[in-house]
Amino acid sequence: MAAPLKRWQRHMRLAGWSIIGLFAAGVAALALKLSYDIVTYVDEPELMEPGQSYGVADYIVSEVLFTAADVKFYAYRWSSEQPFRIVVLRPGQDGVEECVAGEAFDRWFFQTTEMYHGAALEYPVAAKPEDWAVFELIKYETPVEENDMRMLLPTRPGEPIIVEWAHIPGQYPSEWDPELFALVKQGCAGLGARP
Amino acid sequence: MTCVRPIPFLLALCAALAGCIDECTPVPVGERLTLIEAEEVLQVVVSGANLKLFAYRQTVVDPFDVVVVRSGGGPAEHCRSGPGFTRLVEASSALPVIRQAKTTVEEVSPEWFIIELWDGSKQSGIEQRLRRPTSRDGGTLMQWCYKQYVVEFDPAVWDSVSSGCRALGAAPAVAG
Repeated sequence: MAAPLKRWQRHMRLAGWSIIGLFAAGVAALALKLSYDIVTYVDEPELMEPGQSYGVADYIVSEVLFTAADVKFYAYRWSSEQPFRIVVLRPGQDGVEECVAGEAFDRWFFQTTEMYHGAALEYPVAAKPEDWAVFELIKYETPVEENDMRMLLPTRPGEPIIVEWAHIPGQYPSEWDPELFALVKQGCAGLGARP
Repeated sequence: MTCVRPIPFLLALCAALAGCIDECTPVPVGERLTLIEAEEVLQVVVSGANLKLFAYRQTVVDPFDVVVVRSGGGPAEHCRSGPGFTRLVEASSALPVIRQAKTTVEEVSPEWFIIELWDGSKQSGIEQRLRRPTSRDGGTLMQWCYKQYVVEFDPAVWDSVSSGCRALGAAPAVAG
């Protein structure tokens, strides 16, 4: 029969088990908190504060896509050293416009590689689905998340472009120049290189 | 008094913790990964190192308007979609996942393609990165988050993509 534990040995055993218990409780609490953070991130996204929405290095962009009800604008390049080439399709019209991108395209493109936005609209615009245009920068060699958005181009001078993203709530005024997007709708006539 | 075995208990907690922090949606290995309903697709973008394709249609009952461009130059190919294009959309909208790749390959190489399918319902399309088979392994790889999976993808569809309007179109290619 083993000798009974001395008092200090009982205290040491109790202290040991207490430390193990506290560690286990800490790990469990951390796991629960991480689970809660992940769940709340998915279930309760928050409105963005005014500021920069995104910024992309221009040289990694291989394609630019602007899709509206009346124009399908697709610009691509084979490498960052080569100029963009533009292809434009117009629903209801035969044929395809094709040209090399010009200076106006460069101004528009560089603008779109970053965006600053204002505060979320207090009253979101209730536009018809066909009024929205989808904008996307495609980065062929960079397997990272894209920054697709849809936008409402203004119908009156002085109004901003309104943007919204797939996984972020709210609509936001963008600081992009609407005049440059008006050139997109002109296709090669607006953004193509001059002959 | 029954002794509690602390070490297995702590290991179980740590394993659960590791599982909690994997934020990527799990890929159903052994099942079909349905990304989008093929019949609802309105727009397709295929981006490769030497070939790019853009296609759209106004409604789900219309054929696609397809444009194909190549890095070797020449005017864009333009055609209405045919059965070959339909097979491309169907193949890339739902992928049977065979297994996770035991060894990963370089994420950037000419064999990789971005295929994006959009049904008009959201701001962005479903983008996936697929690597066409090489002579070494014979299987199509899918990049998903930071992992790679072998998926079932008809090799003939890859050949159709390479052929452009000749295989994807319903009518002869029209330049410009």
